[in-house]
Amino acid sequence: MKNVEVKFPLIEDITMEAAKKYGMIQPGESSTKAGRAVFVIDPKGIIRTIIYCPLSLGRNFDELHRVVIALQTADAFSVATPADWRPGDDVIVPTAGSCGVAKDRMENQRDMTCYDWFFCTRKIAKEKVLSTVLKK
Amino acid sequence: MENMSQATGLPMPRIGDRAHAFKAVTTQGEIVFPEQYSGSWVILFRHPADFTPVCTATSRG
Repeated sequence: MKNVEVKFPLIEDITMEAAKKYGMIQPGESSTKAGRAVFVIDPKGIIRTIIYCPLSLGRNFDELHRVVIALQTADAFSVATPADWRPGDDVIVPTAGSCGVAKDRMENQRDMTCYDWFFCTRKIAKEKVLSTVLKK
Repeated sequence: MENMSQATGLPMPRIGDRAHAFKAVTTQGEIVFPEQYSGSWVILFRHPADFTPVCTATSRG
């Protein structure tokens, strides 16, 4: 495992300023080692996802990739993504804000599939998801 | 205190919070976080220490 090129900046944090600001010290586990924390921060500087793992558990980078794509998809299409969502899977449409909209959705489903008045999904093709999020 | 870290007394970051700012030296020079990355998605992650095998294996991938 030598001569690996690291393409992202590695932060020096001798004083643990960053670790403390981000709550990465988990004193119940270890007071000196920062736990394996991951923060996904959006283009506006807002924390969007936080994942903590104990010292013995390695992270899942496939999941981090999924998280970023799913957040970008949620932002771009104003939808939510269900458990285990992957590009190409159905997305969840926000719950109808009024009885009229809910009724309309149930009676005229258009491009949606409605399982109940509060629960509608729609399809977004994988290519559409990827071409939209990769532009950013 | 509610939601305060026992270790630092600082509030724990939460989803929806503005990412806490810090300046740091990195392998690619000084950075001003998170302003410098405005407009981009960022994954900020942490490893416990150098020469810890789990993270060495993780970062390699």
